[in-house]
Amino acid sequence: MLAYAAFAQPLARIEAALAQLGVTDDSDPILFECANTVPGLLTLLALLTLERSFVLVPPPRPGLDLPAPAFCRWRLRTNEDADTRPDAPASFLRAEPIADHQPLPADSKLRSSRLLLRTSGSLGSPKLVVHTHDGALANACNTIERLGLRADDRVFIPVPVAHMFGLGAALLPALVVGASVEVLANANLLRYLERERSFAPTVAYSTPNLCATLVRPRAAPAHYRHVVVAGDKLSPELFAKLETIYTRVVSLYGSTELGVICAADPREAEGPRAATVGHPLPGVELELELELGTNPSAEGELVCRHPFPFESYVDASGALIQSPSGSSFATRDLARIHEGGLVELLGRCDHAVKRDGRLVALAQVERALERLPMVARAAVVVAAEQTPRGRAIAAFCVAVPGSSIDAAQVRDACRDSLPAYAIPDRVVELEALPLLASGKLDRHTLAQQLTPTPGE
Amino acid sequence: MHAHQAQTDPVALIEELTNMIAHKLDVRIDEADITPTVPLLEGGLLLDSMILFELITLIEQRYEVVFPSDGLNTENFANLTVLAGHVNGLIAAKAGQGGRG
Repeated sequence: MLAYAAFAQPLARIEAALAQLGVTDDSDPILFECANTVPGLLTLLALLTLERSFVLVPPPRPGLDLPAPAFCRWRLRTNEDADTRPDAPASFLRAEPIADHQPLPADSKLRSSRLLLRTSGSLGSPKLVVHTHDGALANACNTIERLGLRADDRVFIPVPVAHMFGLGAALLPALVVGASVEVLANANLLRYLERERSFAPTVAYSTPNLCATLVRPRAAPAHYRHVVVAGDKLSPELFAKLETIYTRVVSLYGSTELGVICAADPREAEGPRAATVGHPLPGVELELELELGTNPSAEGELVCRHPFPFESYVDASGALIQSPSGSSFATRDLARIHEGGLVELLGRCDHAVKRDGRLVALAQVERALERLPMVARAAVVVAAEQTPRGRAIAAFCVAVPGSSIDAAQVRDACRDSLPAYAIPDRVVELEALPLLASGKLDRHTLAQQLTPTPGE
Repeated sequence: MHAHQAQTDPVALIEELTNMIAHKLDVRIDEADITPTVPLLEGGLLLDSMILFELITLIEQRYEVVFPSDGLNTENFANLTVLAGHVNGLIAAKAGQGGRG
C-alpha cells in the first residue's frame, strides 16, 4: 500500500535510477513494458511526471514478443521477484539498449512528451498510436464524471494498464479522483477472487471474457457499486448475471485512438442498458456514415469527433503517417443511435460482405433474424460459394422452444425487415450455437459446417 | 454421468485430471509434461485464464461438485496433487451430505 502523499519520493528515486541506468533525459522514446504491479505503476507515473516520451506495452507473453520500434533507444521493464522492493527502484528497474536503434531526427515530435500505444492488432498488424501526455490525461479526466468515480472508491484494475482501457478509463481517472487503486497482473478466476476478497472493491474493470469466468454461482459481494466492461457486447444473460454480482454493469466503448467514446451512466437503472454503451462522453460528437445495408435512417458506420483524440499514427521509422486533428475519425464499428442518443454497437464493419454492390453487416442480419418469432438465436457467416449477388451468406438459427426452423419460411419472413440482397441464401437449424470457452460465438466452427450444396 | 464413490483413489484422480488437461482442453501440452507436481499456472503449464476456467467447469461437471468461492484460490490449483486432494474433499463432502453419493 502506498499513500498519495508518499508518491513524490519513489518517483524521484525512479528518476535517479533511470539516470543511473543511462536512460538519460535527452533521448528517443523508451519502450516501456508495463506490468500491472506497484513497480510497474510507479515507473509509469514517473515517466509521465518526467514528461518522457514512451511506447507503453504490456510485458511480452511467451511466443508473442512483438519487435521493438527501431526509434526506441531503451527497453525498460520492471522485474518481479522476491527481492523486489517498491521503494528501491534499483531492485526492480531493468533497462537494455535496443540493438538496431535508429535515432529520430532532432526535431521529431516523438521526442517530447508523447505516449504511444499499440492498437490491439485485431485488424492485422498492430499500429502505433500517438497521444500527447496532456491529451491522454484530458481524455481520462473526461470519463470521471460519467463513470461516477469518487475519492472514497476502491478501484480494482485486473485489465492491463498498458492498454487504453486500463490506462485511460481505469488507472488515470481513478488516480485523478484520489481513489484507492489495486491492480492485478495475469488475471484469472483464482487470482481475481483472491484479490476481490482482500481488497473489497467498489468499482471493478473487466472484459467480457473475464466476466464470463466470474459469473459462477456465488454470493454477491456487498461492496460493489458497479463494474465497467469494455469490448464486445455482453449477451443479455451474462449482463443479467453480472448485475446480480456487481449491482450495475457500465458498458463502455472506446478505442486506442480516441480513448473513451461512450459509457453508460451507473446511476441510470432504466433503459436498454444491456444492449447499449450509453451516451457519448461530454464533447464527443457522433455521426453515422449511412451507406450500409438495412434501415438507412438508423444504422451505419460510427464516425466520431473527439475533443481529446490521438495525434497521429506512426510508422516503423517514427514518421507520423496521418494527422486526424480537427477531423472526424471513422471507427470501423457499426452502430445504431437510439432515440435520445443511446448508442448501440452492432459489430465491426469488417464482419460485412458486399452483395449487389451494397455492404451487408452480418450483425444486422443476425438482429433481423432474432426478431422473428421462431428464432431464439442466430449467427450469420459468409459462405465460400458465389451467388449472383456476391458471396453467399448462411444463417444458423436456434429455434425458440416449441418452434422449429423452416428455411423457406424464415427467408420469407426476413423480407419484411431486410432488403433482398441481405436475405440469407441458406438457413440451417442448430440445437445450439457453437461457443468458444469465452462464451463468444465460434464462427470458425460454423463456417466449417458449410459444405457447398450442389444446385444452390 | 454416473454416480461416484465417496472417495476416489488419489492416483486415479490425478490420472484422470491429467487426461482432462491433455485431451479435453484446448491446449497443446504434452501429456508427459503434466506431472503430479508441475505447477498448473506460472512456472509450469501456464494454463491461461480461459483454459483454467474450462478446467474448473470440466471438473465440476465430471464429479458433480461445485467449488465454493473461497476454494477457488491459487493454492488449491498449485499442482495436480494438491488439486486432486481438494477435489477429493469436495466429493467426500458431497457424499457425506446425503444421498447415495
